[in-house]
Amino acid sequence: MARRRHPHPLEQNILLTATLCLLAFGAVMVFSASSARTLLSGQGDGTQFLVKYVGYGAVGFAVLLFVSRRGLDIVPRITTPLLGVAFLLLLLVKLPGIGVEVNGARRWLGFGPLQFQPSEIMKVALILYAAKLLAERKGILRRWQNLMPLGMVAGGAAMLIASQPDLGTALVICFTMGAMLVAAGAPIRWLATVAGSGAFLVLVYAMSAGYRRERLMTFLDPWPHAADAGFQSVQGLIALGSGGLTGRGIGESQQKNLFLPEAHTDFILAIVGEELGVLGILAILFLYGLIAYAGLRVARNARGTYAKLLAAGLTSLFLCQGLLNVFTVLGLAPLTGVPLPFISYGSTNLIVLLAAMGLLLNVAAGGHVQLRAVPDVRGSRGDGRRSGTNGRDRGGRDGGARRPGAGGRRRAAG
Amino acid sequence: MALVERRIGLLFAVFLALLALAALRSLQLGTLKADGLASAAVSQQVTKVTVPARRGTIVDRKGVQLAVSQPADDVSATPYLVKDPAKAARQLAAVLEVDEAGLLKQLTRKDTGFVYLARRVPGAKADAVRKLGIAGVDLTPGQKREYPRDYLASQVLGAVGGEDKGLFGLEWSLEAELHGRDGERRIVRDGVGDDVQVRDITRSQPGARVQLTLDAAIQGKVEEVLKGIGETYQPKGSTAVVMDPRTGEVLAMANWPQINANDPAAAPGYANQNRAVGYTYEPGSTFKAFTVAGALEDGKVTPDTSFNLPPQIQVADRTITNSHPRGWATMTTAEILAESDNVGAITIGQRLGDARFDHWVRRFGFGSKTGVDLPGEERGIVLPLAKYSGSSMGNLPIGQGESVTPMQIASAYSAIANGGVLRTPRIIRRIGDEVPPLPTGKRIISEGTAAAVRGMLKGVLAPGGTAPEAHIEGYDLAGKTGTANKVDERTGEYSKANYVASFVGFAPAQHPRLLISIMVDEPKGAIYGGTVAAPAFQKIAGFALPYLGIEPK
Repeated sequence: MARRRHPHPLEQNILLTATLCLLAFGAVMVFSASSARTLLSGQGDGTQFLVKYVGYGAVGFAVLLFVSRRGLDIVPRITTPLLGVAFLLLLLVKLPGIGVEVNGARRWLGFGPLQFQPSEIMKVALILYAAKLLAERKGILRRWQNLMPLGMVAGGAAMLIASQPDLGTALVICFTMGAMLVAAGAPIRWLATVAGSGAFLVLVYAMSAGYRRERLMTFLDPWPHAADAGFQSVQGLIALGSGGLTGRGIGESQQKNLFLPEAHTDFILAIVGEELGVLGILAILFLYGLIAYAGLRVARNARGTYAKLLAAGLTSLFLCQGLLNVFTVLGLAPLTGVPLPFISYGSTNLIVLLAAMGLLLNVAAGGHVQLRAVPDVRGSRGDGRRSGTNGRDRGGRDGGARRPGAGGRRRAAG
Repeated sequence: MALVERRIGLLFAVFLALLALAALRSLQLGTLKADGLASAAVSQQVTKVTVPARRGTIVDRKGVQLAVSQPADDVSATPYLVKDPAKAARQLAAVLEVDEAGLLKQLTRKDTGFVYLARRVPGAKADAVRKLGIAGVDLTPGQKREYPRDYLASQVLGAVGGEDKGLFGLEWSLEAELHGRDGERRIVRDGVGDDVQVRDITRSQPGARVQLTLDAAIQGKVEEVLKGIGETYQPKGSTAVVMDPRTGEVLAMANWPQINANDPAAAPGYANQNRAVGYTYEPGSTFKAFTVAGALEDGKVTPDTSFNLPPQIQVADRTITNSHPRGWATMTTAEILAESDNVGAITIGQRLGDARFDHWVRRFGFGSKTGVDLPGEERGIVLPLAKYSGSSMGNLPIGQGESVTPMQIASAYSAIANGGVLRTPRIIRRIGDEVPPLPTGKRIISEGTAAAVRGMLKGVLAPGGTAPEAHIEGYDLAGKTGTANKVDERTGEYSKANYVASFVGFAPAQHPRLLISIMVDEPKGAIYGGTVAAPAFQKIAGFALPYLGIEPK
């Protein structure tokens, strides 16, 4: 936008409009879905999640604006350090006392209210890494052995995240990597082999233990397990069904009254369905469709393989995460807890996805891709870049108050 | 490059397909499956509860409360919603004062989503349970029926069952009036069972207050007296009816053994029965008054008609003697009644003839229900004229061979007492604001005949009568004793061991305002009505006459 006039205003407009629509949708639905819960459990006046969502959204949008101007200048250079930091943080999460455990899962880092999920940073770091790797090395796709580094890095990250346990994010990473390989032109045969054997392994794994088999059966028919394992799925379906075609009306959901767990986060789509009906869900699917259309158009029109792959990867990230969430809520996929992009309440995810959208917008604007900068990645500016990365995270956790300061610092670093 | 662009197109196609699949699935859920899912939603979110109407109070003629309903809640639980059953059981056991292990067992049941922890918990305790605020534990508004006087008139009042439905007695027969109309309430609950929205669809309407003709003071005295008989003579049971003969109002109706109306299940069925209307017995000598009244009304005898009576009398194949053997005697009608002479009564009965005798028996209401507003009334047995055998007129005139209820005897004697009008007895004085009309009654004998019989019945309590000791200084009393053999159920013959001793009397003798009928079933140690039942009459009348403001002469 700022840097170059380029004939891609349509995609930019579509992406920005869709994102803003989803954010507005998200604010309303987070408020609707969370207020009843907080009021009923006596935790304040019911606005706390709305305020936080808007705060994180504002921070995220500031990041988006910044990245949409300067993103491509920066990311190729910070890809490797970012990946390293992301790995380090993922390992830190594992350490008792540092990683924060909530409901039996260790996914968070930080203290008190300032917490974030390193796995979210890893998602973006892997896309940057994969785009760079696939674009940089000519002929990498001639032998599958060449892909071993990518497999090791992405596979390792996915394993670390899956063991938190956060199967959902690990799956989003796998699907996104798969999509990038597809886009990069990897032979479908390889992908089919990997996907087939992966699916087989997962099936064997799922059937190997009684409780996992139980869970698979629960997915296939949650109703007999409505009181325990299938509770959330069933409550989600009940919400969707009782909304019907046009919904009960905004704010009228009954399922959010402590029936549906995670009503304002992973299962917010069910509340959308209950309050706004099938039409509300179709509207959200339409907005994701717009992002897919515009994002992939950006990828096709982008200059250079790196930009193409980056745009395709980022678009795939939104769509993979979105589709996994939607399929889970609709009962088409087993329970995996991933947030609905741009709508669910969730601090790190919202900010990281907005940053990713900023990068996609930068590609759409024809942001200058400095592939030549790649050899310099480990160069003298590493420190400054790392502090820039950290600054973004810190800004994200702090909410609106520190935004101008953080932005200013980053601009100075850039 | 072309490959990458093709692949990007492929990605778009895949995403689009998946989005379309999601759209179709949401359409399926929102339309095809919507009905089933919506009803699942309603079944977990919305409950309709019955708000029980406050049951009407039953009071005596002076407003003394005999049966009242207090708010009391049922405590139930949805076991899987109770997060910490052990803690919940401990807390609830302390409040409800019940066994903790039993509660824990209920709270950890896996086979059901609903268990009762306690029924009919009174208001204060229910509030304490509510304050505990245990998720998954619910309180359903209800009420508990209480009988403040425990034993008073319990067989008349009856009892109320678990669903606020009268089980027997007046509670059963007046169910429609006492119950009122239950309200319906729609409650929207949240996931942990707390109310989110409460709306009354129909308001409950409390049941009507029912006022009885009973007088708690007289009733209490009667029950005390019956208890005394119970201790002295160890009968199987005893029943007394006190009436105002002028109006047919029942002032007291008591049965012994007593039962605690707050715990009717503890008593045997016989004790729970209101035998005043539900039990029949052979009346014996108390029945002679009707034989005599009929003969007087038909002009066959006068009180002074003199009879020369043998020691025994032969009727067909039967020989009937007196209970106290005597030689030949010359007796007037009045003396026959006062001394309860069997041979004399049969002689009068024969003078009346079987057809007229049957007429008078039925005229006094025997063989049909009195129509008193109490449930479970028996009609008794009166042999149809066509089935009379040759010897029937040898026992029917002296009260053998027909069976009657205590209520029938009291009602028929009331007609003699009030000047000849048989009036349907009544026990319900007022239902809500509605006062049932006074039964009109039917004249069955002339005032003169009634007065003559009353005069003759005074002789029973006079020296030479069968109950001289029952006399109360300062009052003119009239009455009749009865001592009847019970039929032995094994042999079908009259028993030599089991009797029914009874006494019916009224006061003041010529303008009766109080009528008392006492029936003692199988007394031990003494059998005669004059010995067993008449003193009870004396005690009750001794209390009730001054109580009712009836001055001594």
